[in-house]
Amino acid sequence: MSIQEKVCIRVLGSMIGYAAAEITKFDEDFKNKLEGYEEVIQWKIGDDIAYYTTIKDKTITSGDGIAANPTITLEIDDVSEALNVLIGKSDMSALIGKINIIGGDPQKLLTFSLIMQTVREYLEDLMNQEV
Amino acid sequence: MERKEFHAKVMFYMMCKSLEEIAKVDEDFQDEIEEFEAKIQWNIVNFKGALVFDKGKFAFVMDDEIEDPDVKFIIDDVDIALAMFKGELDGPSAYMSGDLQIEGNLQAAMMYGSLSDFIAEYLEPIRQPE
Repeated sequence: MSIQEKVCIRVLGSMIGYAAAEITKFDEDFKNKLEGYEEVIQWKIGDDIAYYTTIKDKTITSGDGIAANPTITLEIDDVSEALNVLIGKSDMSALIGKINIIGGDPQKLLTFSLIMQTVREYLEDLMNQEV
Repeated sequence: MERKEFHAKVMFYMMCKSLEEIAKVDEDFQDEIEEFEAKIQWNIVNFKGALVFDKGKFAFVMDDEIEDPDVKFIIDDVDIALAMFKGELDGPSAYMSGDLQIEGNLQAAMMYGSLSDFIAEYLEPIRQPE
């Protein structure tokens, strides 16, 4: 894994979390999708990339590092594939068999995936252009 | 919030976060900012954010205005902001055309501008994924 890839994953992971938090401020439909959803999702990518997403009370926050009490942990060893998913070059199915899910309800993970799909739609025309 | 304004805000966040991450890992970048001391305010349409370089340390704030900034960048057109963040329009050209207003210490503004080369280098995998 190159240092560039590490930086890109950290930046993109954080940016997606920030974007999701912002969308809850102006999109009521999106906010309502979060109703009753309460999870702390921990991401671990490669050896040393960790960040988490917290969804509670119809708000989203994110942070770097290890969360105190994650309800779901997603471990991905293949950094390059994770980067491809983050930039939209591959979809989540590319991670099937490469992602280790620890704890949590698979159904809630599916709900989370649908939530993130809305975020991706908001960012789509942005991600499809150069940054 | 209009989608373009949302995009500009996200791009601004991405620029700040990139600088924060690069500052952790790149010795050349660390050398560049070792003596750099500047508070840089951005006002983009309805959004305000700021970057603070403090002799080797870097921090940023969103949705806020810092006191006594050394430099203030003001953009009234969200399309201009997006073009700049996407690398389609460079800062000096935007400044010369009047689309980007710069108030305060121009030297600090230029120093800050030179740091954007690091962002372009580090985000290359996003531009041209293998």
